[in-house]
Formats: sequence, C-alpha cells, structure tokens
Amino acid sequence: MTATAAPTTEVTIDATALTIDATALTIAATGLTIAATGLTIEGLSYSYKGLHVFAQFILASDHKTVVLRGPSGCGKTTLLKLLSGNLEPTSFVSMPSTAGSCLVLQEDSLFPWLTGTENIRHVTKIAPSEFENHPMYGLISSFVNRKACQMSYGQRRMVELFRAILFKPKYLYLDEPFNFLDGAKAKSVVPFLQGEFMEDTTLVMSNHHHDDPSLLSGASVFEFDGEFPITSLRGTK
Amino acid sequence: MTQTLETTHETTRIAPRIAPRIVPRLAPRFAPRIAPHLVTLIGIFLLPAIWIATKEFLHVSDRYLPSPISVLRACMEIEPNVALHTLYTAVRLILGFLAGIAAGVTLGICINKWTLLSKLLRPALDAMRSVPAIAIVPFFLLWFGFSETGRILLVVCGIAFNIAVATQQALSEMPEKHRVLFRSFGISPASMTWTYTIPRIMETLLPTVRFSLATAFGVVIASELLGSQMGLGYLMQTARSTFAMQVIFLATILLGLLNAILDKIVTHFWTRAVYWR
Repeated sequence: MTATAAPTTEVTIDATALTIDATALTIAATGLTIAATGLTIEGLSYSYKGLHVFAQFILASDHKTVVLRGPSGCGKTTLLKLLSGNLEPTSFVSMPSTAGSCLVLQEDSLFPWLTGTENIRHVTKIAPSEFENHPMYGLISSFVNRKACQMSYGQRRMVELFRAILFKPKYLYLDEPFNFLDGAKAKSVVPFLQGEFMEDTTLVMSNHHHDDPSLLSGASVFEFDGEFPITSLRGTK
Repeated sequence: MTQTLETTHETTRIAPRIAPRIVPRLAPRFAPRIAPHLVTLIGIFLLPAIWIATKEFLHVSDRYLPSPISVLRACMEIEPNVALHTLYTAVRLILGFLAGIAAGVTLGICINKWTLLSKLLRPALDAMRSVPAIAIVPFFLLWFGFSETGRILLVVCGIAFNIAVATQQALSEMPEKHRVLFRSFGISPASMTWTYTIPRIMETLLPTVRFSLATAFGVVIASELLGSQMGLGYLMQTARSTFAMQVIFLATILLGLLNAILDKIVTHFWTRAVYWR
C-alpha cells in the first residue's frame, strides 16, 4: 500500500512544476505583445458591391496614436471596420489581430433603456465600485445615472468613450469620436485617450477636426484623398 | 376649380403676413384642442348614423337590418345578461392573449439562442403558423372537450407561433451598431436577456402583437361558436338558429367595442413600456 502511494505523489509534484512553467511562458508571450504597439497593414484588399475600396493597401506606423483624415465616404470607417474584424477583407498579407480590438462607431450604441452606469456595467462586466474611482469618471458623473435616452448626444458619446477607455482593449478604433462634443469637452477627453491610461493600447481614430493640434499630439496622421481603389495613404507626420 | 386654386395660392402667398393677426379671430384658442376630439366623435357616430339613415330612408326589412331600438332592447332581454357573455369572451381572450405572447416570445428567444433548436423546430413552426387557428378548433374540442383550458390554449396556439417567428426575426436582425458593440466587448447578446433581448423585442413587436389581438378575437369567437354555453360567440350561434338578427348585431357591436378598447389598452401600455422610443 505504502509502496504504491509514493510514485503517485512524485507525479503530482511534477505536474505542478509543469503548470508553473506554462504560466511563466504565457506571461512572457503577453510581454512581447505589449511591446509591439503601432499599426502595420500589408496587402489588404477589400471590395464592396463591385467597388474596389482597398487594393494591396499598405500602411505602417509605430506611433501609439494613428489618425485617419479625409472627406466623407473616403473609406475611413471601412478601414476601421476591417481592422476590428467587423468586415471581412477579400485578402491580406499582414493585419493586426482582431482579437482584443474594440470599435466605437460614430452612431450612438448605448442601449437607451439602460442608464449610463448600467450600459457600462453590463457591457464591460466591470462593477460600478471599480470604475467610480477612475479619473475620467468626474467628466460623466453628473449624468451617468440618467437613462441613455434622457442624455444629450454629447453626453452619450462621453459615456461611450469612458466605457471604451475603461475596457482597455489592445486596439481601440474610434470613428469620429469627437462628433457631438464641443472643443472643450473633446480636449478634456484627449488625456484619457492617450498616455498613462492607455499604455498598452494602440489608438486608431478617424477625425475631421483638422484645426485642433492638441487632439493629435504624438500621433501619426494619414490623409485619405477620396480616390478608389486605395493603395496607400499620404502620411503628414 | 380654377377659382379655388387661385384663392388657395393667394392665401398661401399672403398668409405669413396676415396669419398672426387673423388666426386668433378666425379660430378660437380652444379649437386646436377640441377639433381632433370632435372629428373622433363624429367618426364614432358615423356608422350608427349610416345604419339609422339606411333603415329609415331605404326601409330595409328587419330580417336583413334590425332597427337600433330592437338591438338596444335585445341588450336588456338576453338571459343571462349580455354583459356576462361579454365578460366570458373578454376573460378567455385576455388570458389566452397574454399566455400566447409569453409562450411566443419565450419560444422565439429559445430558437434564436440555440441554432440546433431553430433548425429542429423551424419547419414545424412554419407549418404550424400557416394553419389557420380556426382549423385546429376540432382538435381542441376532441382533446379538451368544452373546457375553458381548451379554449384558452386554442388562443395561445393561434397566436404564439406568429409571435415566436416575429421575435426570432427581431433578434436576428440586429442593428449593426449593436453587432459591433457585442463583438468589441466580447459579450454575447444571450447573456443579456433582461437588459438587451427583452427591451429589443418590446420595441419591435407592437405591430405583431396588435395583429395577434385581432387573430385572438377570431379564434376565441370560433371556439365559442363551436362549443360553449357562454360568450359572444355562443350568443351569435344561438341567435343564428332563432333568426334573431338583432342579437347577432348586438354581439357584433360588443365585439367591435371590446376589440377597440383592448387594442387601445395594449397600444397605450406598450408605448409606455418602450418609453425610450
């Protein structure tokens, strides 16, 4: 009886050791991913109803903030949807992983029947006690407990941005995030979109606020010219 | 005609200049509030007026068109009281209608949640909802006899399948913004039954629910026509065999009133429930 028990114990110890090794490996892998910020797209092709929107498209930036500019209908939103996996590309050579990416559309996506707090809690699965201490919470605290249908467009947008920032995705794609926000409000959000709050996040946003340099600090800016198919973008920085 | 057109055109052209001065004089302040109600009131009395006029001026025989007085008299004479018959019909209808909505919505959510279940049940569901509810009355009479359970279940079956299909469709046709949201935050809509699924169904289902109410009326009357001791359908059935046209008229009018009232109540509460729209 004693003789058979001994080898079993040995096997158990070995298995524990193996598990620890695997954890260590996972941590190392995560570390590597965090280091690789920026955006690299290679050979992206996409057609929509016969229109070749992107053809062997190339874009490379090692900045943590990438701004896409251009007139309406030039493909900015399409690119964000492709990057976030909400549209399927026809073909590509290299694209950022869609896993862990978060896209906030221009259109308000808060559920109007829930309060701001409920919209954050049910979607991010983060309890209010955890996010009420967030420094950006002060910007929304005065209206976040109202039903979304009772908020203004600007207030809803602030809640949506807060929710996305709180979620800390690996890639955050924002489609015209400053729509419905006045200049002062937009500026108050910028520090939370960049810097320490989003250390591990690459931010890609479309923006038509050409004239506000404070919204673009440390960002690489790419211009769409409205010509199809798009093969590359003119980088202005 | 030309004259009228010219006048209208002229009025339109000069209206901005003189309107603020003449409108208060032409239309008293209370008019905008009273006028819509007045139109509704006229609408309510329009049909009885046509009825009386037809009877009075065209001299239609009582056999085809009973006089309003005889219908009112029937209202008093029927034993047991006509109100009791109406109550029976209303209770059967309301219970069946509510249970039918609950069953249909639950079935719709389940089908939407489990693809396998959807594949399994969809053909049967499509077949069932195309069978007119009245056609399944004989089954229910054989299974449940003349019991109230059978009649209520008949209403449930009559509306639940259509509501299930409408529910499933409402859930499967998710707006792009919601699809993107669920994908972005890595959550499934199925994990938000009370916070997403139910409100989403509520905001799209009202037309189907109103249509189902009308269907439920048809089914409950058919079940009463075929086997019952109380209810407006029963009243119609007995009146038909005694050629009591005034009773048939009375039952029809009460049915119409009941439908109008219930439809108003459903629409009122449903619109209140989806206050965000």
